[in-house]
This record gives sequence, structure tokens and C-alpha cells, in this order.
Amino acid sequence: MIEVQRSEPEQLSLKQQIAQRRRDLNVTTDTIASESALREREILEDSLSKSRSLESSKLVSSMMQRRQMRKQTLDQSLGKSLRTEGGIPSIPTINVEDQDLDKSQLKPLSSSVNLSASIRDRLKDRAKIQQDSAMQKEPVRKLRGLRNRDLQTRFDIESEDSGPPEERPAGDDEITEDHTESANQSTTSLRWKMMAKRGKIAEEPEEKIDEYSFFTKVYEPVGSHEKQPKKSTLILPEVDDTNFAQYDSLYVITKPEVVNRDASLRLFIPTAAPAETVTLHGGAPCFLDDEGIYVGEPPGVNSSNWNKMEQRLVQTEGGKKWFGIDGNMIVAPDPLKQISSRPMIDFEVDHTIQRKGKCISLTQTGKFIGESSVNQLSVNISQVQFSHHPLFSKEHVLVSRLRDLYAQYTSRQRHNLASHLGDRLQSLRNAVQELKYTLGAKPWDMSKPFNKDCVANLEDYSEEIRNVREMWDIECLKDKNMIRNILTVWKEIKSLRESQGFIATNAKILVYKEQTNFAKEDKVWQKQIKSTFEEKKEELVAEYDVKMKIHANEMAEWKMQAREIKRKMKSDKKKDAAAAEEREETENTGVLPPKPVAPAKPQTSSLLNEIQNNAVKCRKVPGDPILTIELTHTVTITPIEECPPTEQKRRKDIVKSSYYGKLFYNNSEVTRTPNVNLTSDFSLSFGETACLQVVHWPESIKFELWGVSEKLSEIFLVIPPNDRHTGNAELDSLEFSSSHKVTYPNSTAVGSGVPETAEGRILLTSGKLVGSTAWVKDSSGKILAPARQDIAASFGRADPIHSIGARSLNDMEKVIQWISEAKLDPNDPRNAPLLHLMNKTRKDAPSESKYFRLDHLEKSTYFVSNEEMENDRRFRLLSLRSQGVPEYKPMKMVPLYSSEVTHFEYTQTEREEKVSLKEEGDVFEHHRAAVVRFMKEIQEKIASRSRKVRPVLELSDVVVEDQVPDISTLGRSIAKLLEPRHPLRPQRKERKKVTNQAVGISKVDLLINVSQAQCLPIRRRTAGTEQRINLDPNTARSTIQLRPFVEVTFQRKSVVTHVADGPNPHWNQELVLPLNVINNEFSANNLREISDIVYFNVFDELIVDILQDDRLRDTNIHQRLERRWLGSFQIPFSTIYLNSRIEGKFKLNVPSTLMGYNKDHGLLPQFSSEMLMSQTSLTGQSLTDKNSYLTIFITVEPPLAPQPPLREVFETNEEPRLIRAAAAWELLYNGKYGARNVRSLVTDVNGKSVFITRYISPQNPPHDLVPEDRTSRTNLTVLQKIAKFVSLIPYYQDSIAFSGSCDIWATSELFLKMLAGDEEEHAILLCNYFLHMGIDSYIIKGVGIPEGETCYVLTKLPEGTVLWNPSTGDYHPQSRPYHSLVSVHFCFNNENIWANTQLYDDPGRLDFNFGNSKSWKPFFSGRENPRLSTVQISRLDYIETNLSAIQTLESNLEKMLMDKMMEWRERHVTRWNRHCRVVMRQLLPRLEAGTLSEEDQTSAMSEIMSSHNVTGFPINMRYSDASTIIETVFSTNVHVAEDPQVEFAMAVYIHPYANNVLSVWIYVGTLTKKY
Amino acid sequence: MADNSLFLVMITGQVESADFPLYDDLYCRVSVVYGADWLLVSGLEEGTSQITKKTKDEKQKFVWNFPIEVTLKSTNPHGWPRLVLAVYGLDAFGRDVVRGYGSVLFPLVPGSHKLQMSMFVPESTSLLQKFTSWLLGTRPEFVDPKFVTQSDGREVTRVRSQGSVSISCNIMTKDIATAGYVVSSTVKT
Repeated sequence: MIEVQRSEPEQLSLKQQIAQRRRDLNVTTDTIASESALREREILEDSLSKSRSLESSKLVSSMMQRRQMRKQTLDQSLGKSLRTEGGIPSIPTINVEDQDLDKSQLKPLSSSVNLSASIRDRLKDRAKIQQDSAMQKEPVRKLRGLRNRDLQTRFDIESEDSGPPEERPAGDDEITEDHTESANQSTTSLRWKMMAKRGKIAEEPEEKIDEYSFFTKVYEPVGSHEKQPKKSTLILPEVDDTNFAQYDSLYVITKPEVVNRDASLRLFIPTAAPAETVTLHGGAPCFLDDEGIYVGEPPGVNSSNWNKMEQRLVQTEGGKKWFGIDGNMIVAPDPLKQISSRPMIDFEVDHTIQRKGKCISLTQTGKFIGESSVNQLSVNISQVQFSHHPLFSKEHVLVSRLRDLYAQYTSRQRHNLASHLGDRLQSLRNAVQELKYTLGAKPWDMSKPFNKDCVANLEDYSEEIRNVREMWDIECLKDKNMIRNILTVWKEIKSLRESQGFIATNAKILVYKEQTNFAKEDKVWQKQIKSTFEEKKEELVAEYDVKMKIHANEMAEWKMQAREIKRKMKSDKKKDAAAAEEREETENTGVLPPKPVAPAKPQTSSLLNEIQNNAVKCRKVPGDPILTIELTHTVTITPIEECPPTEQKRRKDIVKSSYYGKLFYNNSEVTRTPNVNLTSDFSLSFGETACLQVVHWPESIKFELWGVSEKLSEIFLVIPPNDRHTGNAELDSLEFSSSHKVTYPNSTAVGSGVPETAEGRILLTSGKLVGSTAWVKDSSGKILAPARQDIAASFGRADPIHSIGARSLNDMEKVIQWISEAKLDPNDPRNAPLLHLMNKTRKDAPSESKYFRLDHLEKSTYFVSNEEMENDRRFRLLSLRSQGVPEYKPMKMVPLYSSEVTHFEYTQTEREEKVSLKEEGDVFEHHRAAVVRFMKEIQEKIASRSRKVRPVLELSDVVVEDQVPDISTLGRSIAKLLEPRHPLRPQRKERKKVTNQAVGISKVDLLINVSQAQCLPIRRRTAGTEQRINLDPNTARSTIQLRPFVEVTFQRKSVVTHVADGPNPHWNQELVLPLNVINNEFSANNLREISDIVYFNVFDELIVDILQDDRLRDTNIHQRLERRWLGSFQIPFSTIYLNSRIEGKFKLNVPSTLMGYNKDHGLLPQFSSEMLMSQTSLTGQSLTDKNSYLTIFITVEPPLAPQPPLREVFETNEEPRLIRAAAAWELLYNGKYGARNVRSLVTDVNGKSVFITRYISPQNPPHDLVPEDRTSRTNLTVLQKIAKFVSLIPYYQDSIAFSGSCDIWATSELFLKMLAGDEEEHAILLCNYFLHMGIDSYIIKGVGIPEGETCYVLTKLPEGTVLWNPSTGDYHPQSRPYHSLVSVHFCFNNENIWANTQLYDDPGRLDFNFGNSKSWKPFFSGRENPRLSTVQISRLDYIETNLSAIQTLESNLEKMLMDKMMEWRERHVTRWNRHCRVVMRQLLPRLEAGTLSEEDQTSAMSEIMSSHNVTGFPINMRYSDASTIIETVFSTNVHVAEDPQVEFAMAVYIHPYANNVLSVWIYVGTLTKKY
Repeated sequence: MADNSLFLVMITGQVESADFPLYDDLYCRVSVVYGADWLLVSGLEEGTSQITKKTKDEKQKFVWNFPIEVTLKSTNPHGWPRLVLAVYGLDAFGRDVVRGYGSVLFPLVPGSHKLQMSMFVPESTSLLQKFTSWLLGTRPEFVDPKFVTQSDGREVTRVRSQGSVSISCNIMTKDIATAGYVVSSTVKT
């Protein structure tokens, strides 16, 4: 219960009682650690005490009841403690019972050792002990080895427990048998047996044990006989159990109750309760901080940890030393301790590494100053004078005392303090006189400030006069006494000389008397007395006044009190007798205090006498002569022959004695003086000057004075300050003394260290050393002292006197400097004044520099200057390479010397200039160059940003690891097993993506699966061709409509599919194209920079029979394959890379008229309506859709995962509230609906985040596109024109350009100016135009084919909802089942953003009613829409396109194309048909206008077609640069015409729109003459 | 490039033995990795050793004695050659399992050197993955064994250290002092 007492001292007595009771009752419940358990214990004890009366009668029923209750509470408490301790059973500390147990523990240990002793004897012993303790129940536990384990004793204990001693025999035998049996068993089997038995006991909780022990142990008589044999089997497991627990800790976990009991005996587990206060000497703790001693802050420690530690320490031996005098643990080093208690760490020196450097020792001694400077210290030891020496005779002692006195006297004479004070007193008196005079002359008017001052002055003066007078008296007395003393000593000397009969010293005192004029002096004397008297009188009066005032106050108070009491008494009288008692009390308290005694009036009668007496005592009485004393050395010393033998011996000894000195520098001897004989006046004149060349810091300079054999004394010399040199050094006299004992028995010498008989004083050898220390000044005048060193830093830092010297303490600057250097503890109250001083001076001191430089040392680390670095070609090359400049990145083996760098010609800027120079052509090229430059600028800006953010590698990038199967994947795989199989409809498996950052991929292929095409144009049957082409006229009609194949071109490499049949062919062919990268390095940067486009061209293969001779037809086949271009589309590689795979149905760009082909299938007579219907159902296309589609799947192998876009936080001008809302909104919807992403902030050209709705604002389209009348404005054809205009603006994929990190959203103004932008710029412009037209339009952000993430424009027209592809100008009604827009993520307009929360995201199935909150979640919901202002300008200005420039461009382009055509056909002659060109040229403007019908075209071409077979098509495209156009024409393969008779026709037309937006039309055709 | 100055570094040596307690049937893949300004003149920069069983004595060593011999020329000490070792072994089911990765910089000082290389393998990210990888024999591996030569991306990996490999190598350099680089502590002027 120790612990309980500690934790709750107020319950101490209660607990003790309980403990007592428990002992009485033999209750053996465990002590419980937790407080809650304690509380329950209390309840238990209460109940126990209640039932105690019953127990006394030893009724079984009451015992049962008690036991059950205890069990209950035990269970509860254990459960609680389990809960509180987090599952670990709380183990109680040693309790009282345990202590009792300890006593008995000694026995079994001995008995177990002594095996020879009979069991019975031991049992008897045990029984005795048992009875003594009267409470033993549990077996004793000890830690013992398995082998030494003595089971016998265990059984003994229990068997002894199990029954009274007299009944043992029967049980004993049984148990012994049991034991021997078990002892023979192997330990393991024993253990298993125990385990088995334990299991039994676990089922039967303690109840039985308690029950058992209750019946057997204490209350023997009650029916224990019958039960004993049965119960002994129960005991056995209990015994085994304890032994078992000793070596098998695993077991502990299973049964907490048992463990508790076990552990409490074996282990000490401190509780969190506070330990009792421990003091070192057992006394009451004293608190240092209460006594004003700085104790510092103890470190913060959890109180439970603290308590545990305290308890541990209390238990351990010698742990008490860890408690301070305040009774608390010592937790922090003593703040007053100078030396760290931490042991010095002995660093191991690595001998293999040799370092050259200054040796800096950590110890104080041997601190090097440095090798560079020469430091010389000069130590001058001139003389040693003994003030006492063992060989002094008595006369010498007196004389030395006389000397001392005389020295004091002379110094007093010199200062003459008495006369000085006298003068001062006089002058003060005069001043007072004067003041009194001035005050007296004028009326006593206190109101005047002058008077006020005067009175104040007067008071000050009188105060001062009193002080000075007293001092003067004291000084005069001292002077007088001094002379008296000297004369007394002199008299003693004289009498001594007479008595001893010889003179040993030559000292003599001469006294000069100066006669004085009595009358004159008397006058002064009287005056003095008088003035003193008056002053004293005044003082007394003043004092009296003050006292009177105090008295008056006291009187007033007293009177008040008296009155009060009187009144009370009166009132009390009126009161009845019942209050008599009370009254008495009040009377007692209200007794009148004694009346204050008025101060006595000052007595002036005795004052004069007093003053006179004092004056006589202190000062020279008038008429007395003035005495002056002089010490001379004129007495002749008695010659040695005349002296008595004792004196002779002494004198001989003096002559004999000699001394020498040793000089120590930093405790090492540096020099030794020669022996010097003692002179008769007891001085040693060394006259030595030692010059020391100093290497270490001076720490001590010591002079040791040695006699012949013994050290007399040591004297520490002053370490000279740096400015003290031999020139200005003064001789110091340093006193010393020695305590050694010397006696000279047969001599007049008094000796040393022995008490002088006469006065009981002990005379010690003492003296003074006259010498000096100084730094040597060399010939050039330089002081050879070490430079200002920080001794303060090395030691004695905390002590100002030590570090700067007592001399400098008055020097404020030095003190402040020391404060700043010493790094004082600001918390230590001792340092408070010093720090205050420092703060004060710091404020005053002007701050030296107001700037701080980080890199002021950086320059010194440069080994060449920056310019040199710039000019060095090799360094430039290396730095360009490390910057990743594309040209230099692949560079290897950069030459070793700059002179060898040859192929390094252009810097980056030079390169750019070169590029721009090259492209100097027409206006448009110029413009394009400007755009490129602008783009580059932005790109650089963004790149520099993203370069800072290095790509963060993820674990999957570097480590290949199996995906951990989670529920969803498991579920999916299980579902896969169950779902029906479609072996004929294979599904694509998701491949694991490979990031290309850390991987060395050696080869990347482009995989293209061309699946099918739909609605290709079919051949127009002309009589001539049919004859020639179709070999078998019978099958011609049905089979040979078309023989299409697909050619895929990428990086000038092409692959083709096989040839299929019909307008709806199926190829299902996989094509592989290798991907070429710069330097063959498939890094993310390189892949991003690929700007190549994948071209898909659909051709019709035409078999031309060129067999000339029909006779050979049976035997020969002579055919030529011709390909006719049907249509094409293109996907930039970047799109594939970013989307990693593209799958879908792509619209083929089929020219509006394809000569020789017919797009309109419905016109074909051979198609029945059923066929058409079936086709419709097959392709899912309406008949009105004349477009051709190609279904393909593209991916790259191995799968490349592009870098995720940088989620960089750009700076912004938006309100923080909005930014936060945007982040929250995005977080809410991103990832919630599959792949749908919402965005509300985009990056503008300046790299700032802008809210997305700010881009939308009505803007005017070019005026020639808008009809005048408002009604026709919403006409679909008008809108189509506008869409076409927008789509003609060149396309520029900026997310690729800007290193994939982010998409830049340009304003429409900038977009029109640059004439370059991607989907969002197109969409914004189109949307703004539509808004200007008064059409409700929105921008859809989603995924489209083939561009991936894209923007579409949604318009709500009266005809229905229409989706516009802004980059192609196409529009689809929403009702159409097929869209190139695959999914819709979110929509926005100038007011709001709506996230798509519908189940589907393909536009055909979407509900575009943004008001429906179920389908669309708006960003600004309800009223809080702030209607953010736009970033767009309200009115766009358009430049008129220069028509003449267009004409030049047109002709240039045509010429260029024709040249190219001839170039491509290098093996053939290229003929141009002029006539056809003219016809085509005429057709083109009408095509642009959209007014050309099929019939018009045929009629226009009819003339040519009559004589020629004409194939050809017009291509319409936007104009960005010539090379794109050339590339497009090249991809149509028109130039591949093998017919030797073929002629070509080409026409170019450029239709100018406003702002240099051009629509380029190219008509190409081939003509072959008909036969 | 013939007329350009360069210096030569020749490395000969061998991967002598390894110490992998608990494992058996180990082989190693050796590769020499160097910077952009280095060029292999002769020798093989990669190689695979034989599968070896550990010795029967108490040392339990794996002896490969796999020779390395490369001569490199360079113009820039940046990217000084490193040795990359990846030790693989067969597990109880005969599957190839990685037992250790390690990389060591070849000494810059000419002479004979003994190198001791401690090896490590990436740890599974979770206990479950550890179990499945043990079950399936697909222990986590680095995508590229040369990953251990670079410092990028190390922070995302957790590795367990196991085993060590001892290597002996001799370094010879030519013209390195004329290029102005000091590689040894005793400089001959």
C-alpha cells in the first residue's frame, strides 16, 4: 500500500486502516494500480468492514458473500486496468503483503539448497513462518534456473497451506510421491503438463482457490478434512503455474490476474503516482529559489515519467544522491557549475590522413598563440624584502611594526585628510552663513521659488556639514592615535634595546615639535566650538520638530481611538444584559493603547560640554606643539663582537642564509635566479630580468622563492596587458607570506610560524617582491605582445574580472565588449544588470550596415571569373549541354581543351536570328516568324518555371512491383470469370504503363490498327473506264465499286493495308511504324518535342490494264496499279503521346468533289432501299450524313505514360476566396465521375491563373461575315461561315509547345494577332462571336476524337442544340448519334461553370439544360454569382488583308507546288494541262462560296472529260505555312501516276478573310487521254 | 577526334566473391557505367556471371571470380566510371529473384584496390505485397539496375540491405596528369 499512500495522502489513514483490516481478514486480493480500481477497492473495503462483525463469528455464509463480492470487484478492477493500460495488464507494485512474504522467502531458498534436510523439517519451519505472518496464501516466487528448480518446496508450501500441520502426514506422502514422479520427468513434458493443468485452472477462476484457501488455511476447523485431498489437485496447477511463469514469458499474456500476482513479486514496475519526497540527509526539503538562488528552469518532463523515475531511484541503492536538497530529482546540470559534467570525448585520430594546421588543444594549458608572431615577455625580479623573517630579533619585529606604522603615517601626512576636511567644513559654514544672510534679509516668503531653493540648499548644507564634521573628528582622532602608536612602539624599541644590551637595528624616530601661538589658536578653537554648538543645537531643534510632528499624528490617532471606544461604551450601556458577554469581549479588544509620550525638549546645557570634550579628544588643544615624526636609520648597530652569543648566532645565521628564485611560466619552470644572500636588512636583491619568448598564451607567471632546501613561498606575477611594455612598466610590489615553521632555539631570532609569547600573535614569514612583468618592445618600437586574444573565450568567460581584468572594469567599452563576447545566459538573473547595460548601449550604438549579404564569401570561391567562364568555349559547351539545349544535349566527348572545340559556332540567340533570317520571304512568312518568336518567348518563360519544379519520380517509375490486389480489382477479376465470353469479339486489355523517365527504352513503335471504313466514295462508272478496268464485265457492276486501302505515313515512312473491297471495307489490320527520336533517346523531353504528324490516306487501288495487244490477253497479264486518293485525316503524334492511345471513328476529309467518284450512294441505282436500310443499321449513320469515316486504333508500344501535367500554383490576380472556392470545387468533382475533370482556373500568357469564365464575352466577328439584318443573323449558314472563319485560323498545339506542363489560354485579341492557337482559343473566339450574334452559347470541355482533351462550342438554336467543332468548323446537331466529341466534362460561359454530373458523358445522351441541378452542378449556385469581369476586349479590330500580297502568295504557292510536283516525279516527265488548270481555277472561288453544285462542276469539266479521263479533287485548308500545304499535297499521292501519257493540272486559289485569315484552295488532277 | 587530347583509364579486376547469408544459387550482372564524355575503347561493359553455390565451409561465400576489363578514354572526369552490380538468385521454386543491387565508383587513384560493396534490394510497399511477391516470386525490382548509380528518385524507394560483394580492381591511367587533374595524393611534378 505504499503506492496508495503516496498517491492519495489525504486518504492515508483510511488506507492504513484498510490495509490493517485486510491483514486481519487475510484478504489476498491484488493491489490495483489504477485509481478507479482504488475507488472500487474502497467500496469493497467498506463492505468488508460492514461484514466484519459477521466474520468475527466466522460464519461461512458471510465468508462466501465476501468472497463473491471481492471477486466481482476484482474482475471489474482488472477490466478497468486492462482498459486503461491499453490491453497490458496493470501490474501492481510491491505491497505490504509482499513485504511480509519477503521474510518468509529466505527460508525456502535455503531449504531448496539443502536437499538433504528432510521435507518434513522444512515444512515445520514453513509452518512456523506461516503462522507468524498469519496471512500467507500465495506461494513464494523466486527467479531460479530450470534445473535448480525445487518443486518439492513448492509442494511443501502448498501442502502446508492446504492443511493444518497435524493433518499433514497423509497429504504429505501423496505430494512427495507426486513430486518425485514429476521430478523424473523431462522439463519439457513437465511444462506441457503444467500447461494442461493451467488450462484447467483458467476455466475455474480463482473462486475455487479462494474458497479452498478460505477453508483450509486459516479457518482450519471448518470442514477442511473432507475437502483437502480433492483440493490438493487444484493447488498443484497453481504451484506449477507460478514456476512456469518464471521462465515462460509467453504465458504471461494469457491470464492477467495470475500474472499480476507473479509479476508483483518479481518485477518492480513503478506507477505514475508521485514518489514520496526524498531529501539527501533526511531533513526537511529546502527550496533554493525561495531563498533567492537561481535554480533555472527544469526541462519539461511528463509528470508520470517523472514520478516513475523518482520511484525507481527511491528503490535503487544509492539512488538518493539523485535528489537535490529541495527533494526533487536533479534533472538539469547545476547552473553554478563551471565545468561540464559530461566526460570529454576522446576523438579517434585517423592517422592515415595527415592534416597540416594549427594545433588547438581543448585544455586550457598549452594554448598556442600562433607560430607567425614573435612574442617576448620580460620578467624583472628586482628585490625581495621581508617584512618578517625567521631571523628577525624581537627588535626587528618591533621595528618592522614601526615601519608599517610610519608608512601609514607618512601616507596620512601626504593626503592630509584632516586639514582638508577642516577646510571643507569651514567653507560649508561660510556658505551657510551667506545663505542665512540672504534669507534673513528678505521676508520669509516660501512662495518665492528662490527662497524655496535657498531653504532646500540650506538643508543640504547642514546635512553635509554634519557629515563632514563627523568625518573630520574621526580623521583627527586617527592622526592623533597614529602619532601616539608610533611613539609607543618607539618607546618599546628603546626599552628593548636597553634591556638586551645591544642594538640590532638602525631605526630611530625623530620627533620635531613646533611651538604655536596659543591666543591665535584659541580664538579659532573657540569659534569652532561655538559654530559646532550652534549647528548641533539647530540639528536638535530640527530633530525635535520632526519628532513633535510624529507625536502630533500619533496623538490624533490615539484620540480618535479613544473617542471610538467611549462611544462604544456608551452604546453598550444602553444594551441589555444579554450582550454582556459580547461587550466584555469588545472591551477587551478596545482597550485604549498607552498615550504617546511627547518627545523631550532638546537639552542644550550639556551639549557645550560634550562638544568641548570631543574636541579635546580629537584635536590638538590650542597651545600644544605640533608634532612631526621622522624615521631615520641612523642608529649604529652594535658590532657583532659586543653582542651576546645568542645575537651573534642570529647574525651568523643571517649571513649564512641564502635564497634563490624559480620563475614559472604556465606552470613550467623557465629560469632560476642565482643564490642571493640575505642582507642584514632582510632583503634579497635579485636584480634579475628574464626575457621569455612566448609561444603559449600566458596564463600564469609564477615566482617561487626557495631557501636552501625548501620552498618558502610562491608569488604570482601580473600577466601584463598587451599595452604594457618594458618602457612603461612600473615596478609592482607583490606581498607574499609563508606558513612554514622555523625556530631558532639558541638565538635571539624569533623564528616564524610560532606564536610570539608576549602578544599571542603568530608571526609568519612574509615580505614583498618588487618586480615587474612587461612585453618587450623591439627596436622598431613594436610591442612584441600577442595580438588581442580571446582569453575570455577560452576560460573564465563568465567572469568579467578574469577576462578583462579588474583594471578595465571601469572602462565601459571593454565591459560591453566582454558582455557581447561572453554569450551570457539571458535567463540567469545574475546577468540581468549586464544585459540591461548591453541593451542600452546597443540602442545607442549606430548600426554599422543595414544590409545583409548571403554570398559575400562566394567570390572567393570562384577560381575563374565569370567572364572567363563565358569566354571559354569548353565551359560554354558543357554548360549548354547541362542546360539541355537540344543541339548540345546529345553531345559526347566534349574536348578536353578549349582550343580543340571546333564545331561550336552559334549561341542560342544567334541560332534564332539565323532562323528568322532564313524565313524572310513574304509578309505571311514574316508574320509567322514573329509568331514563332513570340511563342518561343512564352515557352522560355514557362520552361524556366517548370525547370525549377523537377519531375518527381514515383515509386512505380523506379521499382517494378506487383500491384496489390484490392477489392475492386479482385471483384472485377471475379466478375470477369463469370461474365459471358465472346471469343469472336476480342477486347483490348489495359497494358501497364511505362514511364519513360528512368527507363532506357531502346525502341518505340507506333501501333495502328486499321479496322474499317464507312461510306467511302465509289467509283463513277464511265463507259471508258469500265471497259478498261473491269476484266470481267459480268462481275463489274456488283464487285468493282472500290478497292480501297489505307496508307499510314509517319516521319516519311509509310505502311499500307491490304486492299479491301467496297465502300464499307473491313481491314482489321495492324500496322507498325517505328518511332524515330532525336539521338534515339526516348526521354520525356524528346518525345514531347516530336511534332510529326501521322497521316492516314485512303486510296482506291485501280488496276489499269496496259496490255496493248489483245491477242496476248489470254496468255499475258500486263497491268498497272494506280492509286486514287479518296480522303485523308491526320493526327499529330503529340496527341497520341498525350492520350497514349486513340481509338474511334474518324471523319475522313474527303474533298467535296472527287472527280471520277461519287459520294452520294443513294443516287446509285443498284442499291435497293433495303440495302440502304441495312447499311444504315449497320453503320449507325443516317442517310443524310455524307461523310466518310475510318475506324482505327492507335497506340505506342511500349506504352508511354506522359508526365502528368504540373499542378503548379501560379500567381494570380484572382481573389483568394475565389481561388479557395475553385480548389474546393475541383476537389469535389474531380475523380468522382470517372475520368471527368473540371477546371476553373487556367493559365494565361503571362503565366497567371485566370478564372475560366473571364474569357467569355461577346466579341464582334469581321463585319463582312455578319449580315446586316438582325433576323438572318441566327441563320445556320451565317453561323457556319463564322465557324469556318474561326476554323481557318491556324492551329498550334500549345500544350505540346509548352513542355506539356500547362495549357496557355490566350485572349481572342492575342489569338487573332498571333494567328495561332489550339482548340480552346478557337472555341473561345467562336463562342464569343456567337454571343455577339445573340445566340445562347457555351463552351464544352471534354474529350474529342482525335485531339483528346478539347473544346467544343454548344449553341442553343431554335432548331435545336448544335455542337460546333471550332477547329474544323463542322457542326453536329446534338440529336445526331455520332459525334467526334466523345465525352463532356464540364461547360462554361461568361457567367458560370457547370460540372457534368450525369450518368453519361457522350453528348448524344446528355441533357444540356443547365438549370437542372441534377444534371449540372454550377460553380456559382444561386445568388452569389459575382459576374466576373472579362479579360477580353469588347471590340476586336480586324486588319484588312492586303489583296496584292494574297495574289503574290497565290502565284508563289502555285509555282512552288508545281516545282515540288516535278521534283517528286523525278523519273518521269511532268506535263501540265493548261486548259484544265484554267477551268479548275474558275471553279475554286465558287467552291469557296459554296455555290458550286455537282452538276455545275461536271458541266464545266465536260469538255475536258470528253477527251480525257479526269481524276482530281479540290483541297481546302487553312494557311499557316507553305510546307504544310506541300506536305498535304504530297500525301495525296497525286504525283504517283505511272501512265506515260498522264498530264497534270493544278490550280491554287486563296480566299482572303479579314485579319490575314486565308482559305487556301488547291485543285489537283490528272488527265489521261481517252482512246 | 584523333587529334584531340584525352586521357585513358584502364580498369582490370574481378568480382571475386559475395557474402549473402540465407541465399544460394546466385549469379551477378556486372555493368560499367560512365558519363557522356567517356568512350569505351576496349573491353565489355556488361557481363553476366555463372550461377554459383555457396561454399560448404562456415564462410559460406559465393565465389564468382568474374573478370572485368575495360579501357575507357575520356575528356572529362565528370562521369567517372562506376561499377554496377545486380545479384540475382534462384529461389526455392527456381525462379529468378533479385538479391541485391549495388554500385561503386572505381577508385580514382591508380593502383590495386580491394572494394567491398554492400548490396540492397527494394522492399515491397506493403506486407500484403510482400506476401504476394513471395508467393508469386515477383519481388520488387528496379526498373533499371543502373538506377543505383544516380541519386534521383532514391527518396521514393525503401530498400533492405543484404549481403556484400568484394571486388578487386587495378586502375591504370594515362595522360591524366597532363590534362591537369590530380588523382593521387603523391603528386609527381
